[in-house]
Amino acid sequence: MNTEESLLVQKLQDPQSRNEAFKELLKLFKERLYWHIRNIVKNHDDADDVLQNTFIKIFRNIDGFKSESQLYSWMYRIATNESLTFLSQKANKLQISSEELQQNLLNNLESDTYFDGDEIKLKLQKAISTLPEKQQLVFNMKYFQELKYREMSEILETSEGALKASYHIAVKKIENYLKSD
Amino acid sequence: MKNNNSKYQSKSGFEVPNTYFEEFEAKMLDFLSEDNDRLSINIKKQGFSTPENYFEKVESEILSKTVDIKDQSKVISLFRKENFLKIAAIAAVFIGIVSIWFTRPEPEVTIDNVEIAEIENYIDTEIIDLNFVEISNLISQDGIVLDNMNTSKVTDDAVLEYLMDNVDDPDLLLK
Repeated sequence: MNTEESLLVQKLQDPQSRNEAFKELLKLFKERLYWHIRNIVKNHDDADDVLQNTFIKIFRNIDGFKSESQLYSWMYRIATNESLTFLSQKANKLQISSEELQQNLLNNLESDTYFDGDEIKLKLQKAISTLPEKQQLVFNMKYFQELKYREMSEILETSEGALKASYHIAVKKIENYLKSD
Repeated sequence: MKNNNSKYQSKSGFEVPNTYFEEFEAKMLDFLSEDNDRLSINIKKQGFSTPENYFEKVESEILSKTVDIKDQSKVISLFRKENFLKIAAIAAVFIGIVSIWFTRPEPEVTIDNVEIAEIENYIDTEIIDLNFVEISNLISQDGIVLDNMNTSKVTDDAVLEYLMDNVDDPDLLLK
């Protein structure tokens, strides 16, 4: 953890300076976490709900944060878990499988006000939705968010080698999907 | 060596430009903001967008649910609607159980309802203390007390034959 980050963590864990530090944290990370979440849940309203829950959880659990890991990777981990839990709850509520839910999300994307209905972009989203959950995460984090393997390794608690292999396989599958379609 | 007022005086001889630390902070914030911009551009390539001024709005919304909520002392009313409904539901279930329990009609007890085996067991375990005369008075067959039976039509041979066939212990006959 670098000096700035450990200083921010100290402020967040001190009741005297917590509120100010949290405002700073929110300013720094709201957009990054939003886009990370949006890539997973696709829809803006759902991403908004999950983002708010993520920050509420961060605020409530900051005392339990151990400085052995990076602050940003801890926050990304919370955002990832919140997003995946949200999707599985949504599938349960609709009594459909996760594959059917992915299909639903894509169908809704076509009529989503906050999605530019470009055919190529939609095709790419369709290709991503054919990947298993973990490969989708790896692909989104690497391709769209341009995170480093080291950072992804901390967030997903997976070795860098496994992530590289996973990304490589995901890219191949997407290429094949786009060529065949 | 340049004389500055920093409390962390470098003994190793390394120096930093005068305004390095001030600039560093600004540079860091710029970097993070560029990072956000880069991310936004990538996201735009994906086709996703957000409502106008969404990030300003969501910031104040999150603060109202975290930082601001902590500042207010939380007062929970005992008579909140949810609490009232919960208590009412529990009370209704309790009243239902009690009313069913106490208004249930008691089954009518007659001698016809009692199993013969139960009566035998009752007598055998000597819960009821009867002497032989009392027991013999109670012995009945098809509702007719044996004492009142007209036995004049039964021959001695028939009685002897019955006893030989039905009494296992011949000693009892000798008595």
